[in-house]
Amino acid sequence: MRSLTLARYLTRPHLRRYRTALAITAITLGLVAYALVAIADQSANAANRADGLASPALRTIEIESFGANDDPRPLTISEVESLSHKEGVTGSAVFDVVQVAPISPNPEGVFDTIVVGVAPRYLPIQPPLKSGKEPAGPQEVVLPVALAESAGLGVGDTLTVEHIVVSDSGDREGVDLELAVVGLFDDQVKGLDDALTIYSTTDTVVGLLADESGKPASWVEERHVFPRAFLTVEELKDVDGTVGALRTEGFGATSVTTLLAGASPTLRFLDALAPVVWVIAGAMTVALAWSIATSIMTSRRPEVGALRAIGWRRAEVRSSFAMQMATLGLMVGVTAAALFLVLAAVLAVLSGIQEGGLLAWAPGPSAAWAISALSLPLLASVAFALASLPIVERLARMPADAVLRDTRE
Amino acid sequence: MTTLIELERITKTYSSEKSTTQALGEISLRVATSEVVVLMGPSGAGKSTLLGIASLMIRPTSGKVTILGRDVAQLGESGRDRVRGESFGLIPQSPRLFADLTAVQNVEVASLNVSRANAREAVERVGLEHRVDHRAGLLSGGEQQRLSLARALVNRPSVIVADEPTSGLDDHNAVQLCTLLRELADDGAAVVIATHDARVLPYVTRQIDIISAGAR
Repeated sequence: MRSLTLARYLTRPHLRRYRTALAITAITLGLVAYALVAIADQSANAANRADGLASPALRTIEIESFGANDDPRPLTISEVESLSHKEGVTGSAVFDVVQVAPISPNPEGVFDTIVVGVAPRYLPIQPPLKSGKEPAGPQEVVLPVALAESAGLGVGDTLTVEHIVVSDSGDREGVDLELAVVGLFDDQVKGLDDALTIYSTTDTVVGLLADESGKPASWVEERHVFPRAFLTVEELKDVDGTVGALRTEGFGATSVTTLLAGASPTLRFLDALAPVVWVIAGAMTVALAWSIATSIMTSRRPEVGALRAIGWRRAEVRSSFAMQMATLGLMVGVTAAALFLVLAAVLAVLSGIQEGGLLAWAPGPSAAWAISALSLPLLASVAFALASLPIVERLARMPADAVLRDTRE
Repeated sequence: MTTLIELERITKTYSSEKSTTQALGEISLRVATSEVVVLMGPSGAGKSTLLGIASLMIRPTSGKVTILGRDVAQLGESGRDRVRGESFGLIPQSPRLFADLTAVQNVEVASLNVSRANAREAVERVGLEHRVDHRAGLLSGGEQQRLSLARALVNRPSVIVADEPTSGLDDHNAVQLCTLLRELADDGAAVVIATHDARVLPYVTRQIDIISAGAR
């Protein structure tokens, strides 16, 4: 097949002759591919990292109570549980108890007891554990690290507190309660509560409330009006709508996320940036391919004229030069892929060496690397073939007698 | 002798929006095997146009063209390309070789079903055995024109057409080329040459003088 033979023979000279333009195209494609992978990585990181936009705290809505008598929809546990669109929900109350065991060392040298608040453990808006486990059973609590240290407590110890119990006769008296310390949380992470708040299960808090009100726990669950509750929605984009819906239903609902005018402009920017970069790179590749194809076809017109005169059919000219352009594109794509892999590997290694440094953004090895490296040759080849198509077609349409034109009398 | 090309009462007129030019008046021509026919005449007489019609590159305005005993009027473009590729060899005035390709590669890509060995043989036949693997762009003008001849003869065509083949060649190279064309005719090919170079005359069988617009 002579068209294939010619394509094979001419590709190398074309590679040599247009090496500068081809190298520029390959470098551009390699860099753009890396930029796209880095952008996608940043976008995914921002969207998925728990300390980024994927933090459940940003998806958490605070629901406030207007007071037991005035609230159109009082915040009882059963009301809170019935809310829709939720990933998690809790009624929140900080229930004060008095720690009766001495705090040591006592910084003031005056008090040997301290008032701590007990609140339900709700992970989306509270600091993570440093050690131990989350409270799950009755009277299990987690303590802030600093408080535990000052009280000389650790995981497995017992914290004895005094809380108010209302007897059947209506008398209020302080009763000791032993809480099992099952974990310590990181108080360097600032939560919504103060430094003397400890966390327990909702059931434990309900039990404390029942003791203090002189009612059974079932009554507290049904009737006790919490000052506030927290609702975590499944996706960030649901926050606005859920806040609106809660307000429409009569709850006082707020979320800091609604104050950010959309917490995901960064995400939207990154998402929008990728196609823009891609379009620019594609346009540049096509423009360079067009330019190279024009130069090749112009310089080859006399030879192709001779081929047409000696019997080459238009389809053969077309296929031969389209193959040449596709092969040039393939070479550009392979070079770009190699460049991309080298760049990605070097930057990934450097970012690993200097963790948290200037190159902290550099993406590590991922499937995106393989996809980019494999797709670059294909995309470049197709881009070159398509960009050159009109020019190749014009060349193929050269009449057979063109070879006689400059000598026609 | 078998008639390979038969042109009967051929005319050719080029028309554009602004003007009409008659390139060929009524002209007839027969070329048989082993003949070397030269079309001579001044510039503008229509030699190349007649050559183009005889080699199926140009359609005549009127008249009948018979090639290898077949009326080609009904042939479409690809059919004419096929006949030209199978039965014709062309030597243009300027060789128009791929300068980046070697001599043998230029010949190899010229025709269908040509092996590297056939191409090498053709190159050797025109006396370029020492230049087989040299890039065409490095060959002299005379060598390039001989390589053009090798490209024309590699598929063993029945007809060789040459448009001003000795243009720009010195006497030595012109003689070499004409000798090769004569040898091809002696081997049975029909050779048609359009030229105004008198150096080819000793090698021709028949001379047709085209004076003006195909008149003779």
